[in-house]
Amino acid sequence: MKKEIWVVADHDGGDLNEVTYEILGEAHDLAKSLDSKVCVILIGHQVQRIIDVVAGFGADTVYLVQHELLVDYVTDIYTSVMVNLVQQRQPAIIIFGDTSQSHDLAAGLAAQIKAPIATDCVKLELNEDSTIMATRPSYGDQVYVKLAFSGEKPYLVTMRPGVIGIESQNRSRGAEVIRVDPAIEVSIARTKLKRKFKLDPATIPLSEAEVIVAGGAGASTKEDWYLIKELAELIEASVGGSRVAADRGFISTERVIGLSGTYITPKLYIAIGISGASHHTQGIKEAKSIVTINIDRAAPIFNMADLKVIADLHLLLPEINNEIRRTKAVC
Amino acid sequence: MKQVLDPRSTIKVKGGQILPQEPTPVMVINPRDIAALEEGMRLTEIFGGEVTAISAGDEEVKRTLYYCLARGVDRAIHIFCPRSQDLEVSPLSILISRAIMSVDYDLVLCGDRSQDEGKGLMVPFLANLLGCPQATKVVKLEIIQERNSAIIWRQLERGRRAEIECQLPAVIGVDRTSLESKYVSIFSQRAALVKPVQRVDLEVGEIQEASLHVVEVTPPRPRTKKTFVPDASLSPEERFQLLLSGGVDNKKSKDFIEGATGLVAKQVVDFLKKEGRLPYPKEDIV
Repeated sequence: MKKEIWVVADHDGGDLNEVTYEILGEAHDLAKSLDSKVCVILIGHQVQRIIDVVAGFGADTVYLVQHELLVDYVTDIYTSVMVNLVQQRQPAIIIFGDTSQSHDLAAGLAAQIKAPIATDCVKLELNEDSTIMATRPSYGDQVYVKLAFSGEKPYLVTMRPGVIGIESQNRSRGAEVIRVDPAIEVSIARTKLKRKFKLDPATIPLSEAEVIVAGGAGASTKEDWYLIKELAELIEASVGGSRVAADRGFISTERVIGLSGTYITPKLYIAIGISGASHHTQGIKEAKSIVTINIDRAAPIFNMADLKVIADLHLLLPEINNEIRRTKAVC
Repeated sequence: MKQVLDPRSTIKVKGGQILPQEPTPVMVINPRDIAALEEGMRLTEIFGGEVTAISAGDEEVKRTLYYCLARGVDRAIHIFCPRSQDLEVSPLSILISRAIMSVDYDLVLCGDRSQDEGKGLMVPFLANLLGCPQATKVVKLEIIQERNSAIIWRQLERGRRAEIECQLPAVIGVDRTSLESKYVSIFSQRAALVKPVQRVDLEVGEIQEASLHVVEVTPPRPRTKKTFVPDASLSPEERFQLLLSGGVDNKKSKDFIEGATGLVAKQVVDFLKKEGRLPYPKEDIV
């Protein structure tokens, strides 16, 4: 029997993290070269709805490990589940996303089963003699180091999110589901999750923000920035800006977005009065959805936008803020 | 405590080797390790106790330990290991764990990952060897003395945090660099030079065979993302704009929204609803 390639699904209460789709694509490519199959390890509680999704992205088999004690990530419990699974099934490679939770799990697993591990990788491939190679950035991304695995399998790899990209989903694809009884002992948990919470968007670093509202040269007065901050507050967004906004003193330098500031990866980015100079657009490449509000139809930032609004921000922002308040009031 | 190349240094790749650009590279203490040291000092100020600093490497790392002694740690252990940078995390963690076990401890603090290689593996490996619980990416730490436990904030993605309670002793990976180290006077630094540093020699034969080998070191070559497919039907001007923006402006929307302010605002709000930023009014839900 060919050894399996495992992908550990990274999710939060059933909401799949996008990195899972990315590593599924990478695992799928590797499985083709190794003539192996891709298996997804799905650990949680009431997470069966994810099965069809991961099947569409390339999973051949899903090991479904469900238990009410697995509803939230607890290092000792999740690691013990993984150790048991690995000992039973002996996979060839186990791929994780390099998120806070999955990195913790992967490193803990590697320590326990004494397996080689390469973290924060950007590429996984086979060379001519079928050696598995992982490429990882080092020294603050100044160099790429290619590593070759040797010795006893399994090999563990964590992949950096947002690097591989997501392939399109094949909805008609199905996967074999193998239910695994985790047989968990509560006593092994030496840590206890008390709560999960979100920090105030106004204070979190821009690199962590989910939604960002930013102003540029077009927002030139205190009143404009009052409106921008009001919009951010209404939709629970963080506030950032272009270099011009910082030079004018409307935002602090750590809230600058772009080459000379922070590279952002929000789900939604709203650019107000920003023309889209290349040093700014380089920093917003990874934003999933972009709304731009600008009075200049020729502004380059419109090329990147999902919603292109030509309007005077002084007139439009009060209207938007009022409309949001009305919407919230009736909900 | 790990010594790393100054994060502000630039690196070059020559003959498959990683070399610093400067002729005399500056080695500094890993910033997260300094944050871990400061955390340890803060806790001893509150609860009492002693802090022991441990570092593995050649004679050069003694400078790090002298800094720690000058900062106020009670004991310094130097694991003499001339090529510690070539060791994998597994043998290195065995050596460090032995040094830790030689002292009484309630808490093991270290930087969550180093500024150079940044593997982020030491905390789980040490925790496994010491038989303690682990907590990585820790941004806040409080000790509950009566319960002999720690309340920890772990950093998650997208500005989220997980608050966990962890029994002591535990191994904690501090993921903070903003915590400024306190000023260490020249007098303290000079005084530290005469303080004892306990040396532990690495015995030959303890290094296991590496299971990960470096085969190539190259300048960074970011891979092409799978989703980006440049549209060949675009005009040269548009394609050039695409290149200038790093191939990111191939967006779906081609239409501009303009006109009466009220209507435009409504469209923007509808977009925000579609993105899940605002709830749909009850009457809109079918």
